[in-house]
Amino acid sequence: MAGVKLVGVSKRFGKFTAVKNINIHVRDREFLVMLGPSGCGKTTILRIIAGLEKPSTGQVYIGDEIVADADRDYHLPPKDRDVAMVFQSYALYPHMNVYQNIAFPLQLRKVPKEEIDRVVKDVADLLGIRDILHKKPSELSGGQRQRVALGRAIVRQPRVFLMDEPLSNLDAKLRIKMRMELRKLQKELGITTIYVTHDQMEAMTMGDRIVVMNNGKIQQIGEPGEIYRKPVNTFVAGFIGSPPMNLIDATVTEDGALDTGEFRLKIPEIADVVGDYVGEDVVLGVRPEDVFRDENGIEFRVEAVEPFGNIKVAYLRRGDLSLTAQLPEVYEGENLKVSFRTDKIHVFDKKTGKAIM
Amino acid sequence: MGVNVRMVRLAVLIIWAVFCITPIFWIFSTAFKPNEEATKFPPTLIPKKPTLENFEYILSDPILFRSLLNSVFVSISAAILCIIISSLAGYAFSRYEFRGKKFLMGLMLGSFLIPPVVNIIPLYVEFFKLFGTTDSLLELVIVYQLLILPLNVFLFKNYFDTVPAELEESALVDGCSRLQAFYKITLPLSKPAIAAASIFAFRFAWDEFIFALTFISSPDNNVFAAAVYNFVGLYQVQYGYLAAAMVILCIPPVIILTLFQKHIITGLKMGGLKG
Repeated sequence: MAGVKLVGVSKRFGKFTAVKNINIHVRDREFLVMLGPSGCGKTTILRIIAGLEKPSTGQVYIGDEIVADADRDYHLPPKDRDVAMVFQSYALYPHMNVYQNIAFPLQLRKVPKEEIDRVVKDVADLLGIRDILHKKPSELSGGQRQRVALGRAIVRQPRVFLMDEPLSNLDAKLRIKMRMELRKLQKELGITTIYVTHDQMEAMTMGDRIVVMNNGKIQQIGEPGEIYRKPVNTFVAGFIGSPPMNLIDATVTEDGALDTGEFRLKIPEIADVVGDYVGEDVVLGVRPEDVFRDENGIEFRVEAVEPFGNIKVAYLRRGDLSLTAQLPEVYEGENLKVSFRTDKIHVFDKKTGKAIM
Repeated sequence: MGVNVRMVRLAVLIIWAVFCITPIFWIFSTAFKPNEEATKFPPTLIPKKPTLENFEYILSDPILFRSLLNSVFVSISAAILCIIISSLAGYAFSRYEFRGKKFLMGLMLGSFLIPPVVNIIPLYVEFFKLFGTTDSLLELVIVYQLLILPLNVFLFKNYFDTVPAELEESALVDGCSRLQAFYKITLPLSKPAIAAASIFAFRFAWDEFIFALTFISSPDNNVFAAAVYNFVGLYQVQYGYLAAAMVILCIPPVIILTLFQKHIITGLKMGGLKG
C-alpha cells in the first residue's frame, strides 16, 4: 500500500505541452478520480505514473520511493514500479485465454504454479468469471473483458491501481453496475487507485477526491461535493453538473447589483464581495436546480421542456438571454417568473474565470 | 456483361493458363521419361514408358543427395536467421523514434531495387577478404540475408504497425522487460507475418542459383539448385535428370505454401504487400 506524489510534473511532446506543472498527493488507500475533457492530459499523467512516459520536469513518488526524476534523468521501468493498469481497450492478450491473461503477471514474477492457480481462481471467484477461464478474449462480451482486465490488475495486489476510462466501452446499465462494484472492490482491497474519466457522473459517484483538469493544468482538487458546491472557476462550474450551470455575463453596477442587460440582480451577499469590480464584467453562475418559480421573480418564456420523470428541464428565454432550469411542473410556451436561490449563486471574474464568490 | 465480352475474357484466361501451365507440365512429363525419350524429336506429350529412373539416379547419387541436404540446411538456416534479424529490425522501425529513421528505411528499400547480380562480384571480393574463402554454406546463409532482409524488415514493420502498442504497454506494466514484451506478446501475435517472411526467405534461399554457383566451389558444399546445373554439359543436356531435379526442387515450396496458405495471405495483407 502506498500513496502517490507528483511534484512539478510536466510533459512535453515536441513543442506541445501535454501537462503543465502538476502537483498531486494521492493518499494511501484513496480513490482519486482525474476528470477532464479529452485531450486535457489526464491519461498522460496516468502513463507517467505507470512509467510508460518520462516526465519532462518534476518528480514522481510511489510511497516513499522516487520512481521518476526528470532532473536526474532517473526513470524506474514500469515493471519495477509495482503498479497495475487497466486500459480503456482492456489490452487483453488475444493469444492467451482468460486464465493465462490473469496468471501472466504472476508468471513473470516466478510465483510457484500451485500458488498461481489458487490466486487466479480466487480472483475469478471474486469477479464472477470462474466459468470463462478457458475462453479467449475474442469470445467474451464487453463486460466480461472488463472483468478479466480487472482480474489481471488485482491478481498481484499492486501498490497502486491505475485505471484509464475502464468503463467507457460498456453500455449504460452495465456501467452503473460496474461503477458500484469497482468502488466496493477498491474499498475491500484497500489499494490506492487513480482513475481517469471524462464522465462526471463516474467522478462524482466513485471518487474520494476529484482532480478536475483542463488544457494540461489542474483546475481544482477536492471532494465531489466541494467541487460541485464551490467550483473555483468557470471551467469547473460549467464542466461539473448535468444539466450544466447557467453562466450569464453581467456587469457590476455602482450600487453592487449585477446587470445582465435583461435583468438586474441585487442581493446583499453579492454586493458585499463585488465592491472592487464596479463597472467590470463578471459571470453569474446559477445551477438549474437553484432556479425556482417565484411570483416576484423575473419573467421568462419557456422555449422547450425535456421531461426526466419526476423533474423537468426547461430551457427559458428572455430577450438574448437563455437559462436552463429544473422545475417540477412546466409547459412549453408558457411565460413564468423565476428567482434564484441566493445562497447558491456563484460569481466569477470574467477576465480570469476565477470565482469571486 | 455481354456474352461476347465473357467469351473473349474466357479465351484470354485459357490462353494464359496454357501459357503458364505448359512448362510445368513439360517438366513433369519429362521427369518421368527415360533419357532417350526425353531428347526424342518430335517430343511426346505424355511419357510412353513412364519411369522413376531419373529420380532414382538423383537420389542415389551421393554428391547430388549431399547437395540436397546442403540446400535444406542453407534454406532453413537462412530463414531462421532472417526471421530473427528482420523481426527485431522491423520492430525497431515500427515502435521506436530515432534520428534518420525514414532515411534508413528508404535506404534499405532502395537497396532492394538494385539487381542482385550487380552485387555478386563486390560481395564475393568482400567475403573472400573477410573469411579467406567463399566456399562455405554459412557464408551463403549470411550473403542471402543481404538480399532477403530488406523486404522482410518492411513486411514485419508494417505488420507490427497493426499490433496495438497498448498490448505491449500492458505487458510492461504487468512486469515484462521490453524484450520480454516483444517475444511474449508481439511475436506470438505476428504468426502470419512470421509465416510469410519465412516462406520468402526459405524460397529465396532454396532456389537461389547465381550466388551459390559463384560462391561455392567444392562439390561437398554445393547446393542442389547449383548442383543440377552439372546436367547441362558442353555438348549435351541431360533433360530427364534435369527435369526430375526441377520437380524435386518444386516440392518443398509447394508443400509449405499449401500448408500455410491462410497465414501467409493474412501476413502479406497486414504487411501491406499484395498477395
